[in-house]
Amino acid sequence: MSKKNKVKTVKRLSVGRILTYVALIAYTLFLFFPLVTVLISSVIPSEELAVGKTFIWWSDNVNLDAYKAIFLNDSYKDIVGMPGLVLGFINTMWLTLIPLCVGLLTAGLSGFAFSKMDFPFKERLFKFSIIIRMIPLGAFGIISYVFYSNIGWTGENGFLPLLIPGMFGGIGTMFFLRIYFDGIPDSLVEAARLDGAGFFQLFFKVMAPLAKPAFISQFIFGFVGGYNSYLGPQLYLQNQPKFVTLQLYLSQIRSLFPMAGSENIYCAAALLGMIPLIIIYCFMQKYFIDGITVGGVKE
Amino acid sequence: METKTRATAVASKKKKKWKKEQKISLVVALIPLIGFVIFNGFPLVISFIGLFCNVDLYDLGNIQWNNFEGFKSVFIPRHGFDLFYFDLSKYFYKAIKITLWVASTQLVTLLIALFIATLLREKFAGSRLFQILFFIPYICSTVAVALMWRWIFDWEGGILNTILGTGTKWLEDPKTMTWCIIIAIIWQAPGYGIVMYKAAFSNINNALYEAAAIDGANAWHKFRNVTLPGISPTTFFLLQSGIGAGFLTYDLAALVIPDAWGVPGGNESMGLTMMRLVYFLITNSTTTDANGVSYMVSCACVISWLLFVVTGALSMIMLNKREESMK
Repeated sequence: MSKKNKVKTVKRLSVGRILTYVALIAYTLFLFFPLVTVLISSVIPSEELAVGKTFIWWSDNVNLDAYKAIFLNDSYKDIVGMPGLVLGFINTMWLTLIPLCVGLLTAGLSGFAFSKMDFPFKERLFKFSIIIRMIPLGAFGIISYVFYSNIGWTGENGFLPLLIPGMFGGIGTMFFLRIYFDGIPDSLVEAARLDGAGFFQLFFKVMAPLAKPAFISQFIFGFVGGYNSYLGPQLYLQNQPKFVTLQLYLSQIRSLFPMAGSENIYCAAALLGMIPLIIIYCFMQKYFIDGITVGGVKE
Repeated sequence: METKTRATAVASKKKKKWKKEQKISLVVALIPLIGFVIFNGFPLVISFIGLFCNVDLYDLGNIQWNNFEGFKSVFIPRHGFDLFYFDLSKYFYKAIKITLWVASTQLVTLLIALFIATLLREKFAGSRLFQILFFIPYICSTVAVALMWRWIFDWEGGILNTILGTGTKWLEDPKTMTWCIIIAIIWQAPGYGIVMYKAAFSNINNALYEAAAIDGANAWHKFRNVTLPGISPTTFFLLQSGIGAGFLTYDLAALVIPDAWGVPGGNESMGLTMMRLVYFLITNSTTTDANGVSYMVSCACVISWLLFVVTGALSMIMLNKREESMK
């Protein structure tokens, strides 16, 4: 009797497990089949794509011409002296890393002050920050253009709205880091202070090394956001070839290669745009996951 | 005697240092707030003035009361035509419809995330691999994702028509255009929710399940009475951020269905979201009349503030619900 029961549960469990696998594999296909079709199309020769009336699953003449075309034949070379993709990558890097690193430093210092220091108006300022943080201001993302154009930060100076505001450190980042600092015992700060450490020494020698994981996850979060950002560069830099960013370049790929059969180039460009972050993610996925869950669940 | 003076000297020195430190702390703590006031506060004020006045893009001194023409052009049919030669309210009402449609996709995203996270809850061979894979679309750039889906929906060489054996112009037919945006969103967005729900599951006390099992609860009852209440703070958090992102959709909509022939949002504006309309009004230079441009900026301010009020209200509701659910 009991044996029979046991067999039954084992069987039922395994059916459930099989259904789970089927559902998960179906979802995996939904996510990755589109990527595979793009990968296939990126190596199909243009001549075949130009005359093909349906999707071409495979060709005997697969080649990497599309990838070469992106690096060799784009019109950016004539204007700025290097392929748009390379310049876009360089611009994306400095436009992302400078505000991100400076912003992490300022937000970290501010979070440290709110967490471990005592100063005038502390409570009131903190309450003010909490209220500010609750207001969702995303709706003003585009209308801010009116402000930046009035202070001359558009056109030639269109990189400034992407560079400067981030340097002040986001209030959200400050909160995130403050929570982490709160978890570090006050006694460590007191001990270092008795040894004569000042504000900045306390931060750089004691707090920052202990809060490294928090900084890393915020860095990754900010880096992914900056690397993928499209609306800002589109709004402020779209007519400035020398400031083209990676995403801006990818969004222009159709007009850069308008000839029939250029779909392999579009597919190659899409992959080249995605792959760097996917590689970083594969190596550092723990930080990716920790960063977003801590930011969302706690607070 | 000597030791006493030394002690007071040390004490006063310490006190002085403390004061300097307080000053540094105050200044440093203020930096993010100063940034906020400059880069969020000023745009807020200018766009508020823009609700009722014509604001010049390049000369802030030039502010003129516009007798609610911004509001009128946005809400009253055909009113904008006299000011800048196109009927803005037609686009505006279309954009409301499309934005609500696109934003509601966030609920589908949430359900998918909950379903997949539930499947991944127990550890089994490959569960970790699945979890790693499912997050990848979330970190792909929207520009690249849009390029990918435009190729899939391509009417001639795209894989969708090839598999279905049809010749539908998915990206140009008003009946299917919006669905192209929605499918791209559903492809990209759930990864975030999956990770958040997985974390939420691990925070539920296992004793609750054991207690439920003793009471003879089946799997559905356990899910309904233990799991759902346990994850509801996460659900409201995801709804809060998801609805916000949904109402402010710009990237994927603009990239999958670009503006065509001067019409914002492509054919019959079926890809037009509110944020795209704001973008269109701010950057559109088809009218040479500077006055017309000013009116358009005023209209953009009206739509931005409307979006702000709606997303702000919804966000507050979700925040309250979340706090209630945590008690």
